[in-house]
Amino acid sequence: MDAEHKLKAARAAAESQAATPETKPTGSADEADCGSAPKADPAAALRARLKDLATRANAGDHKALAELRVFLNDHPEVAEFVGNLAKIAERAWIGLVVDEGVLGRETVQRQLKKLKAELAGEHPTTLEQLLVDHIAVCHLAEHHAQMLAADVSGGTIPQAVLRLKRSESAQKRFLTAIRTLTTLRARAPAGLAPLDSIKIHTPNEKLA
Amino acid sequence: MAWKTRSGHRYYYRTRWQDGRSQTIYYGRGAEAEKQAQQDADRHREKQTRRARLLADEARVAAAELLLHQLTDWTAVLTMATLLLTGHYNHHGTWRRKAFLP
Repeated sequence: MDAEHKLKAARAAAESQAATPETKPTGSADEADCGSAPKADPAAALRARLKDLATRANAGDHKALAELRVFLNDHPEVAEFVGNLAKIAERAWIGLVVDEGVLGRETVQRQLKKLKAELAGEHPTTLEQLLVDHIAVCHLAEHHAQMLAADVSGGTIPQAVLRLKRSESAQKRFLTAIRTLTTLRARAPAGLAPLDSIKIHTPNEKLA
Repeated sequence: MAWKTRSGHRYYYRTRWQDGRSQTIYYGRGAEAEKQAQQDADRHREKQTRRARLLADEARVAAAELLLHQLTDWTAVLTMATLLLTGHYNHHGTWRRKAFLP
């Protein structure tokens, strides 16, 4: 069936669009070229390498920890790539939440901007900003899932149960995203510190 | 729902499931048969359209879900890397500070 082909093509398109770190947010996921052949995924390879190093470092491998530091220094484009990915994802979810209408889209975008500003604070670090963007996308996904779960216009009981489960999963994912940001701020609170913080004691300062 | 040919004539039948068994209703080959056939065809077309719309929506949701999964994976691994580099380790899902930094 044509629509089933569309489903497969959309998945392939989303994968290929987010495939490389050099990818720029040129359009929503459904605007991607559906007919393109599947490419190798360097972004997934980078992520897998990073995950492997992090897992080894967490297990106590000092060499892996050093490699992890070098890896992050050598790949500054990762932050930009994830930022672009967040923008693409946000656009795709806004398209789902607000099907048509400029006014609705504008309203949702403003609400998201406000939410992001509140979460980010005045001086967010790059990672904090990425986490805030992630929370915003999770918020949209949760909102969409709730809208579908609340829709009682049609469908069978198993379909309604599935929509409810999706809604619960989306809520869990949203809460996990918030917890990640909170954990990062509690453990490595670089972004919340003001740029010109008050210093009560400066060890090397000579008063007279 | 089908036209069946018997002795060179077309007759319309509608089959439906009722009370746990299949029931076939005969409409003959007159105006009533044409009317019922048209109604069934319209209903079928509407159902197909609805199904196609549903699948298209599902495809859009699947694409957005995929992007969100990738974003989730990236943010998780970057957070993990940052916390490890700031002298923490993960103990069964909980982040703890190392007693001695390497």
